[in-house]
Amino acid sequence: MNTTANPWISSPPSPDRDSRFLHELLVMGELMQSCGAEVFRVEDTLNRMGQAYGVGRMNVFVITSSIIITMEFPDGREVTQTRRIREAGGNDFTKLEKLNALSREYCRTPFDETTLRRRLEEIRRDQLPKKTRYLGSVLAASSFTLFFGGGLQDGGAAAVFALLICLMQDYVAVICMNVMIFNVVVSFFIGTGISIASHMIPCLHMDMIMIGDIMLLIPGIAITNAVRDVLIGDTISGIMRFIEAMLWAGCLAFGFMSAIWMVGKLW
Amino acid sequence: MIQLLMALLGSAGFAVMFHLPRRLLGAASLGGLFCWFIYLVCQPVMKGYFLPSFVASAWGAFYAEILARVLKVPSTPFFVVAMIPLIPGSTLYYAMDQMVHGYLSLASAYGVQTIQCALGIGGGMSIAWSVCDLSRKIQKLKKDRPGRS
Repeated sequence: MNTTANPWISSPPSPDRDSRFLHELLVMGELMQSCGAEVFRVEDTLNRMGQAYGVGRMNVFVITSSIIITMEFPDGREVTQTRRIREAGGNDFTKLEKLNALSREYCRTPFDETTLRRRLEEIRRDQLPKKTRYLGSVLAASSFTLFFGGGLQDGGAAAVFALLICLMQDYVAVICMNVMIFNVVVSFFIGTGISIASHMIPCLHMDMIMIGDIMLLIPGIAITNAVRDVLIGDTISGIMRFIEAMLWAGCLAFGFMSAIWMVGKLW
Repeated sequence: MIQLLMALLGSAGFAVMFHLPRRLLGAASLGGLFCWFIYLVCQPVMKGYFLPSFVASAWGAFYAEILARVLKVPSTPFFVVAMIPLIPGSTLYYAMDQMVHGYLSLASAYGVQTIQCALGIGGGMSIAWSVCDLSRKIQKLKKDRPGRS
């Protein structure tokens, strides 16, 4: 965009510059992971950007919880930085696409770190509006209720509970210790709600509504991504993600089961 | 028919939730529809749950790769959205349900079904992905060859 001059010419490589550039690479990698990029994609992108910067050999090691990069320069210097990633990523494909475009642009004509930092910051700030996310969840939950064979009234009920799930994701998730606890809480709460509603209103099918809303919570994408990570060679990340996802699924099952059981006993 | 329509709408819902750029929404949700269509076609022919999921997800991944090359964007959004109708949400629920009611053998049968589906989806995706990788490398080799002395 506004790359005035090639930084190679304007400022010669210096250790200070290298470490600033590497820092931005870590930010980039973290952002990519947090918006749903796969491990091999992150490694590939960071490699390419490093090559474009003029590194002799890039050593990029990415797993879901950490990024380690060592840049080896042709003159023998080495720079290493690492970053620990705590948050499990969501999916935000607008960001991912912008990051991808940014890296393509960088590889064509590298620009200096300040510009890179500014562009990354711009991308980070671009959040999905809440309303859109709510709309998406409602649409997804009610259509999957119908997809699995529920009636229109079930779809409507699923939409209401999908809205509740979104609200809980926004306001309850922050006070929960981790995703597992949150999954137990949200699935217990939603499960109880659906059970009670379907006991009171006989024309609702409890199973269909639950399946529709489970689709929103189920870590299906995480599980399939994990299987694929393992099969294409990112074994550590794949196994980590798989175990994580299995635990989440177990927590969901536990929450819904105890809700069904409790309402069944009390009624 | 309703299922197909709902696969389309459901995928679209997830696509919106995942903040897909608006110009990619339609193509991505169509992927969900196609994937489910392939699954439905394959299911009577092939026994079990593994193979239909496998074929459908391989197809979805190819679709995603092709779209990604045409539109010059990452392929991730397309196949994530396309896979969504294949996710075995209902079998997971029935496994839980049977467990609550104490039918452990039924519960484990549904559990195994769920895992079969997940393995099928993952396997299909990675097969498609490695074929695409192969083709990319062959193209690169072809391109490099005249350059070498």
